Amino acid sequence: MQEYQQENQTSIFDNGQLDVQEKSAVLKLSGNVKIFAILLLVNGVLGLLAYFTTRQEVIVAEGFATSIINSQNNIVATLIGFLLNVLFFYFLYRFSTSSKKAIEGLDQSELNISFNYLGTYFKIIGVLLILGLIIFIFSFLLFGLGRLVA
Amino acid sequence: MDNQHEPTLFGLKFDDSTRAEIKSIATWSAFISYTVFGFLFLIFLILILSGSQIARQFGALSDADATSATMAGTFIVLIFGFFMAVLGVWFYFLFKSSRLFKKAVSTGDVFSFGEGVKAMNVFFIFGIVLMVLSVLGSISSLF
Repeated sequence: MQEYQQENQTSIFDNGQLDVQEKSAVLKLSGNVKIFAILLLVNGVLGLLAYFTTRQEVIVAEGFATSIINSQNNIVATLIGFLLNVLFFYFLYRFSTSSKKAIEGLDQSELNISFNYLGTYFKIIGVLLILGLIIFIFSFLLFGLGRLVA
Repeated sequence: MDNQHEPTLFGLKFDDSTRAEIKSIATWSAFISYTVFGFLFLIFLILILSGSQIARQFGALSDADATSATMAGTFIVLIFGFFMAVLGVWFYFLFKSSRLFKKAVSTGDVFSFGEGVKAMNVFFIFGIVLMVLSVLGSISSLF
C-alpha cells in the first residue's frame, strides 16, 4: 500500500480519460501563443523601422523647438512600444516552449513554470491597464479642475 | 488510497502550485476583460448619446456637400462601432476562459480547465488575426 501511495504521489502523469484531449488543447494553445508572440515581435520591429525610415515633418511656424519636442515624444513612444512588445514576446514565447516541453516530457513542475509565464504576461497587461486608468482619471480631474478655475 | 480520488489535470495532479498559477491567470485575465468591457461600455454610451452629433460635425468640417459628408461621418461612426464589437467579442473569450479557470480551481473540474484552455486558444487566434492586420498595415506604411 505504502509503495502504491509513494508511486502515486511521485507519478506526475497517469493515463487519465481526458489525457489526450487536454494535452492537445494545451499544445494547440502553446502553438498559437508562439505565433502570436512572434507576430508581436515583428510588429515591434516594424514600428521601430517605420520610425527611422519615415521622414519627420519639420514644423517651421514656431521655430525648431516644437519640432524637436514632437520627435522626442515620438521616439519615446516608439521605444516604449518596442520594449513592451519584446517583454510580451519573452513571456509568451517562454510559456509556449515550457508548456510544450512539459507535455512532451510529462513534467509537472515545467507546466507550473509555463503557467507562471502566462500569468506574468497577464499581470503586466493588468498593471499597465491600472497605470493607464490612473493617468486617465488624473488627467480627467486636472482638465475638470482647469475648466472650473477658468 | 485517498490519492486515487484526487482531482487530476489531464492525468497530472491538480496540486496547490498548479492551482495558484491558474488562479493568478484567471484573476488577471478577469481584471483585463472587465476593464475592456467597461471601456467599451463608455465608448458605446458616447456613440449612442452623441454619434449623430459627431457625424454632423464631421460633415461641417469636410469640404464635400452636407449630405455626403454626413454619410461619410455616419460610415466612420459605424466602422468605429464595428471595431468596438470585434474588441468585445475578442475579450469575451478571455473573460470566458477566466471564468472557467476559476471554476476549475475552485472545484478541481478538469473539464472546465480544458474548456478554459480552448476559450483562451480562441482569444489568441483572434489576436493572431488582428496582429497580422497590424503587421500588414505597418509594412504598407513603410513603402
